[in-house]
Amino acid sequence: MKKVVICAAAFIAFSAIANKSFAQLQDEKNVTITMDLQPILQLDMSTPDQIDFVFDDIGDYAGGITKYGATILKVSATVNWDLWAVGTSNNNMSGAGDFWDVQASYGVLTDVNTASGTANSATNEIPLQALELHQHGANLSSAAATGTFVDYSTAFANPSSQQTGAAVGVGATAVAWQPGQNNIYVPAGGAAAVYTIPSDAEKFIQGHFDPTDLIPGGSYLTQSFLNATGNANGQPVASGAEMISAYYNVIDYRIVPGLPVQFPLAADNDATLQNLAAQNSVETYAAPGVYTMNVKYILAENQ
Amino acid sequence: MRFLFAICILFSVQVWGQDNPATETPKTDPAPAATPPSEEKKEKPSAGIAVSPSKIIFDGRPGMTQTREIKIVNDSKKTEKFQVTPMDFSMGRTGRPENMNQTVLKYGLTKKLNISPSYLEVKPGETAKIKVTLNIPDNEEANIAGWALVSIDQVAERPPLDTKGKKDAVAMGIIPSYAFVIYLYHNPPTVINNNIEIKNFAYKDTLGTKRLKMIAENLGDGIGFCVSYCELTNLKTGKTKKLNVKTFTILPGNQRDFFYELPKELEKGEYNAVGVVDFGSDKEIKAAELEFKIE
Repeated sequence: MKKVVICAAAFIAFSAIANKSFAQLQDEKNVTITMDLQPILQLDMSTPDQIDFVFDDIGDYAGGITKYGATILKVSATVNWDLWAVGTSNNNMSGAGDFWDVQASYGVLTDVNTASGTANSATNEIPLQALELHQHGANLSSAAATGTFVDYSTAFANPSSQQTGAAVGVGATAVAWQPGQNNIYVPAGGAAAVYTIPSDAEKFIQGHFDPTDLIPGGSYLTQSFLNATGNANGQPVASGAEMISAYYNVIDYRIVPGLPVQFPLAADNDATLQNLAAQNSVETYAAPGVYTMNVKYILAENQ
Repeated sequence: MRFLFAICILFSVQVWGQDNPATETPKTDPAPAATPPSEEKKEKPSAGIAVSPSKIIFDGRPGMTQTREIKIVNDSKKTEKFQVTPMDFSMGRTGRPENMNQTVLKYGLTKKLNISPSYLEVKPGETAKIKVTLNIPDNEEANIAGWALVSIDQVAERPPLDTKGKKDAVAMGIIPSYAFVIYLYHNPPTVINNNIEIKNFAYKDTLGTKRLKMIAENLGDGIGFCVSYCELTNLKTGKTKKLNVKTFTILPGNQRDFFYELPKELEKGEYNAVGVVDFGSDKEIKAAELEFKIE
């Protein structure tokens, strides 16, 4: 009996020394976890501060100047979104007219052809629609759009096709110029119109006016490009289509002054001609000078 | 007895060994791997400018003041400047520009809004906040919805244009910039009239593209934050198919047209379609029914 008691005491003594194994206290603490999911729009634009077009050569006037890949737009968003481009200027936003801003004007604004007596007007009111854009890859969501051109993906037409009305090119690449096919969207109605979503008859880069025309949330960082057989992101595409991503948009710019300098390709998306001959007279041409305009790329959640 | 004593010893040894700092091997962090010289100066790629949230919905009652924040995160490599401007806008069924008439201005929010700051600079890696405050008048006329947009416009400087010294040339400079549009909506809980009607629901087959068109109109004074869906039933086989859910906004006094694209694999035959619009009312939803034939 004594030995049993001694062993039990030894057992208890050793157990007391090993405090941690027997000293586990039961304790509860509650932690509240809060998750706040905010909708985010993110845009990364790579472009020069100013894209310059200096026409000092006859060939440049006739064929125009093209700046390839001058702007790259990379989009990431957690919500459905639309992306569009707007051509604007101080004149446009103030309601003075849809013209380029004049920084310097060198020409005589009005003179008279002494032989015919007809006024040769050198004007410094150049239409904003003189600027053409081309996007690499089509708008992936514009089924409900009603305009002739729903985006800027149509290839630049040969300027001579505007004069002849005929397709210019070889084989399948022969295309005829159509008014409005690449001309930048110019809103009417002052500053508020610049930021208001364009109508279903205008051009967008991605998405469109209709609430069902949208690009789903995603990112150029993770959305794969299209391949020849389909789109891994679930967007419909024809087999063999150019590899594009709605989240990565490359933009080309072109201006064709023409000879005489009337900007013959200037037009609205509804095919209304905006060249100087149509808006003024056949004798009107653009005066030498320095002109500027703004191109705004606007990203908004689909509504 | 000896057995009992041995059990006591063994148990104690095990307990003693559970946590004895003196016997533990100290943990040491592994030596950091040597960084290849080519990776040492790798810069984090630019992700541009992020704006959040993309839409703000106020729900205050007349007499209340509500404040929300817009965050701008500059994840690029240079300081960006922004002009923040609120403005009223109209959004018709097709989006074509409409005059800012009194009907539209009745719902305009800008006269009740205060935004601060209206101009800001955000350095690389920094986050800036814009406070948007809505002061709702304390009268019956404030029991209607309102909307506006806030443009967060990049301020782009205009560098000089090099004309190469030629005064007989036409020199044209394009200044690219970007802007975010944040939509603001105010839908007071006390709005008197909250009603969306389905004006038309029809089957359209245009150049081989088969779809259902729905026209919805907001007849009330509240904004309709709508969720719409459509369910098809093959009248012969009884198979049902639910089309993708649409979410959209209908402002008071406006109509919206939208389309449901029919799946290309849909079999020929006669179908019944039920289109439903849930505009957030806790009392009712609207539905329309249609029968059509795919040939």
